[in-house]
Amino acid sequence: MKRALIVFGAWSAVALLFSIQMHFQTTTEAEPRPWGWILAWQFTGWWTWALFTAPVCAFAAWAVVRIRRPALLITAHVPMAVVIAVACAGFEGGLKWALGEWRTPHTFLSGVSDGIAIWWTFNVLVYAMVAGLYHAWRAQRLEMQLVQARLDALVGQLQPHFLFNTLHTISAFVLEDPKQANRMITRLSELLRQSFNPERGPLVRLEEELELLDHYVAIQEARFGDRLRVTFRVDPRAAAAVVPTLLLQPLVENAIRHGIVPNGKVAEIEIAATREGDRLHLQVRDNGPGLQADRSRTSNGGGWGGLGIANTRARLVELYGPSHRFELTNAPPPATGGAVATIDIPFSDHARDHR
Amino acid sequence: MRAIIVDDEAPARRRLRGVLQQISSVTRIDECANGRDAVELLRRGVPPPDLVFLDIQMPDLDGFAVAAAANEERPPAIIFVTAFDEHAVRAFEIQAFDYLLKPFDDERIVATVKRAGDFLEWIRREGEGGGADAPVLRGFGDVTVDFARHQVRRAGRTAELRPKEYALLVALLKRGGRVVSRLELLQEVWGYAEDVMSRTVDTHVAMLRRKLEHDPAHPRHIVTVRTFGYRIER
Repeated sequence: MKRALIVFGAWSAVALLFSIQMHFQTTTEAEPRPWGWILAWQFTGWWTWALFTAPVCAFAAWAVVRIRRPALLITAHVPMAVVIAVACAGFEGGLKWALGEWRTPHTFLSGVSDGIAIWWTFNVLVYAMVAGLYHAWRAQRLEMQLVQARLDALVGQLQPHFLFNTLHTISAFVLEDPKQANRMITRLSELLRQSFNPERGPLVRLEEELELLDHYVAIQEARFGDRLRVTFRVDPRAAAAVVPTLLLQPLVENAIRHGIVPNGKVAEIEIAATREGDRLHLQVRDNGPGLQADRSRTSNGGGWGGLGIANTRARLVELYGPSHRFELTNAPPPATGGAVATIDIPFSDHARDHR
Repeated sequence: MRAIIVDDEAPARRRLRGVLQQISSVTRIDECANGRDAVELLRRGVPPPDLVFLDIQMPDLDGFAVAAAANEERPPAIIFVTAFDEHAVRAFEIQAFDYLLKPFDDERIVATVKRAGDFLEWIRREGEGGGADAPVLRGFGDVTVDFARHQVRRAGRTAELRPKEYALLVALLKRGGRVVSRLELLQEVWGYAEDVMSRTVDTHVAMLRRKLEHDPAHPRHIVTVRTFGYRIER
């Protein structure tokens, strides 16, 4: 509703500007046009565009998540631009006939056909502007979500308590096992270096994401010793895939938090990446108590419903629209207990948006 | 004293054990890797633990749930040891003895254990004396307090305290070294129900320090616990 009002208001402003311009352009004519007619003429045209803005944006939104190459995306817009331009111009001509705005005698059909003849080329330009604005707006929104994701990642993965707990573990190893202390300092430094890297874009290669995850996991394994075992199972054909940055870390953090249980059982966490045709399949699986058994997973206290997960979900929706799947479920039989987070996105190794 | 270390992370437990082993008053150290074992020890341990070092974030029961299980007749000194700094107020509200942040400094642990030892001694002595509903510390440094005469002496000479200052001093001494929140003091000494003028407590503490501390700018006995309240150190 708010968006509809903004669109409507923007087109009204355009109509006013064109009215002023038309007024000054026609004052020298033998028969000056009255303000009332000018306003009616302009507003009929531009409010028609207000109606057609929705299908243009809907098409752009549909196309952008399916067509990854900019050149192809622009090509896809061309036929749509012509169709919309003609339809919009015809609609405008017909509407002007219905409201009696044509200054010469017209029938409905001649109104429509004159409308198309006069405005369709101009409308192609208007279409380009609307679609361009939509894509710019979307890119800017993605950028803002990435900034938010970075902040969340700092809060999520480098939550102060994670950092302080790690330092505390290091402080224990300094006395009893200086080599291990050194290894942890190296891992922590690497993790900090990568997460603070301002050049890390919105999309990274899966192998980069897994490298960061590896440092994170190594630190957690040092903290929990024999009680945590993390395995990576990565299909080599998947390693080059482009994925949203910091996609898996919140899932692994949750798996560790919920997988480490006090009954002495080893928490086993498996991080898997496979490629099936044009789909990339990512999975984080734990052997903890599962979803129902552990109510905290549905709360907002940083469990499965926590900030990191919510942000992961929002970014997947934005980047892939309906062509992604993100599920948190209990592990299917024969597994006993445990939860599985599954992400299914289109496979792409194309460097668009990728440095 | 018997100490237990409750933490789900083995290196963290070993770190604390390493420090406690060097303190002669700590005669026995046990470790619990989860909250449930700790609750079991608190309820049925023989002898019951005197010092409980508690982590907060643990997978089964968190530190606060464990603290709630402490024996009320022979309460231990509960010392939170955590990487979170945001739970300190809540910890002191449930009368934790201290709240230490990870990573810590050995000296901080040694000092806390020493104070906790004094604290437990006062509690238990007062408990045997009966009558008194709370442990009472009769002095600190060169200050002695005569509760019967409402008299405070410093280095043998009478210190002139106003009634509210005296009441505040007694309120602090009654805790035997445990931390008291500003709100608790406002309620007890001034009878306020809410924390509407916490500066009142601070200004009176400043007056007490001027009259009883050697160097009021660097108080050694009437100690501020940041963002929370005060405690007496002997």
